[in-house]
Amino acid sequence: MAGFTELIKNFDKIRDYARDFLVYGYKCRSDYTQRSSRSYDNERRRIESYLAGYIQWENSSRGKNLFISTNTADLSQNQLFSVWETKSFTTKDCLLHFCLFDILVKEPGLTANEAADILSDRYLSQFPAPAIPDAMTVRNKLNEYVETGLFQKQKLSKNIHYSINNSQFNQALPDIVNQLAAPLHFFENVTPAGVLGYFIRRDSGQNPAWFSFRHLFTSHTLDDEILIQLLTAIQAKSTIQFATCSNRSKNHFRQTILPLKIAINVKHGRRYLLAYNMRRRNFFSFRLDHIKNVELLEESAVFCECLTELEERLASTWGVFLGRQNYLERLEMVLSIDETTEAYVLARLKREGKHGTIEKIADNTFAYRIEVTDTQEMVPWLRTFIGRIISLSGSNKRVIKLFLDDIERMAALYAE
Amino acid sequence: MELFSEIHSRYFYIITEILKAAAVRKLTAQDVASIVARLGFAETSFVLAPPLLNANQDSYCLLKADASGYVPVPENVPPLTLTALQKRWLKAILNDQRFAMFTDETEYAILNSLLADIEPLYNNKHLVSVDMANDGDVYTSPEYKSLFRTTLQAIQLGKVLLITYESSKGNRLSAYFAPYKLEFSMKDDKFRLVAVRMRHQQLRSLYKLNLSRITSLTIMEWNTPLGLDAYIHTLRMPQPVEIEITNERNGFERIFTQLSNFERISEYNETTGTCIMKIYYYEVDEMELLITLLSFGPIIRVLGPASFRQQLVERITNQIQRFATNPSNI
Repeated sequence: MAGFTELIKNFDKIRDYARDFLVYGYKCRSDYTQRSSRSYDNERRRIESYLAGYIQWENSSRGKNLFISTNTADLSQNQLFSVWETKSFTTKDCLLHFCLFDILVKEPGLTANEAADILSDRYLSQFPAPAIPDAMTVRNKLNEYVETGLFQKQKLSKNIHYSINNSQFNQALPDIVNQLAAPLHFFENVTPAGVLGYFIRRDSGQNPAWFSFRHLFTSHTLDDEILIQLLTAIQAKSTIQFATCSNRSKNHFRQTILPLKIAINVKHGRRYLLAYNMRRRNFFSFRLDHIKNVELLEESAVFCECLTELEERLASTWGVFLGRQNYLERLEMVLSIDETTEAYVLARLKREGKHGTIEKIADNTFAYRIEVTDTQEMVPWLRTFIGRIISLSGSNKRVIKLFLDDIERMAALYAE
Repeated sequence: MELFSEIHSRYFYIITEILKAAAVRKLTAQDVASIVARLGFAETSFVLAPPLLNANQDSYCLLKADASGYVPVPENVPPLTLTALQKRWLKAILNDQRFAMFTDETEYAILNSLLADIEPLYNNKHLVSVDMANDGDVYTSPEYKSLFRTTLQAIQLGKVLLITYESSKGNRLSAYFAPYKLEFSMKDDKFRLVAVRMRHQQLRSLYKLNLSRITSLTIMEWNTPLGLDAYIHTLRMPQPVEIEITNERNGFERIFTQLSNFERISEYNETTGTCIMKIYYYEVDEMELLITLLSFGPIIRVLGPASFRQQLVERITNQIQRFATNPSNI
């Protein structure tokens, strides 16, 4: 396979494949019709390389199925973090990274020309025919590292002098990094852009396994670059333009919206951008894993007003359906719960029932009532009470009928 | 700065480790290859070792060979320095109420002052959790914080705990436990201690104890037995739950995403257009798995094992009977 490289330049290239192998685990080459077979082979080979300890495969009648399989309750660390460690670089990037740090550790406050001279005279002169970066390349790298926060610069007379960032925090870091091991291990798995914490832990040589995680959706990390851009836009109250493409409609389309909040569904494993579309004058939710190419536009004057209205709508929605205002659907579910032996079911009803109310209407009989924007979103949760539902009624007759029909269909599935 | 950056590349990390090792003693080509093989991806060895070891145009010029081995050209590896983005992430987690569980007030104040001029990467008020239980743990309570820190300490030290626990059914239990891990559930917003109950210094049975239901705990002198990890893995159910999934109502995408936190194997059947999935699990998680599968409705069918399937069938049968008895209530 000529031209194969383990590292990649563009993260988007691997983002969708890694998710497919993790989430689906049954797709093989013939399922990827939008890209070439060569592209599939390369990405599959890369993912096999990055996740060697976690990848398994099976040969089925359709070909080789690749899948990533782990129980997240056994995981101490998100295995997909390794995908973030695969950015390609040039020989000069590598040389400059290590040598510029060394040069500035020994002699802080050098100009770019001085650093370039030292690099050539003291480092590269030890090799027979090295490729010597010119002063402009060295200056660009120094400025790039100032931008990332690794270096700092100071202008003295006409010259710019560079040093390693010696903020109070960086000076204290060697002393406090050990006490950060536990919080880093925890938060890297439960917060947006947690991979940044993993890098701190990795680089300080700490690999604890004190925590494990339940209901952890490891593929979320794949969307964290997009998430940071969206959160930056929200912080700036700025409109954005982005491309979106779902698995069902394969076409990308761009739209301009005002991002307001990020919703994380901790049960179903999806994350959404909640936003206001000014052209269509309504609120929408967009799956984060379908969003690409975010571009920040201008600050919006209506951000606060829209956020207030969004929060009002969120108070009466079950999930992320934000579409209608001033119209709520009613639902009542009467349940049989033995108060003595099944108090835990009542506790679950209270714990998961959101803004619904519970009324004891007879011994061991409870009525759960709620008003929501869209009853359809409640259906999976309602099904978890199958076996003890005495009655179900509501204003959305279509959803109630579908729910009841589904129970008949479930029974038919197991009819001997 | 972008999250996807070569600064965080695995290759740079490996080179750092090689330079550190070479600063202690001269390395052979075999030593370098061995570090690359240990820390790299599966194919890294083919790519990274040559430009480190060869002095040609493509060389990184970071290792210099003499008669007895390789020595580092830079005398110092890059000191641990965080990028602006990493500091912003740290500031964001410092603002999370759960952070205070890990530190005392003095440590927290020091960290806060060190990051005083840093803008947090995100603000928690911009995030909203959907379908999270509304009775999450009270992380700010001093009693809870003390339980959390003692439990974590016992796990870190590998010491047995004497625990008194009150279950959701009101049963009181006092026993010795070998603590394994603190399990956090995003959905339940709770920590549970995963631990194995001990009797006569022998491992007996796996428990998941809600931290907030522990009424007292004491760290004992005894160490947790060796092989706790292996013992727990033996408790995985011998038979996976096997389900058949149809793609009705976008079922594949929905179910595969929701079950992606389980260990599972799936296979697509082109003839029937269905997927067969085998889900591996622990007995303590059986009830939750059952309820989750029930929530998917008629787009999945549980094939086995028989005992698991029977539990699901009983619930559906009970429901059909309830509706048959009171048809007017529907």
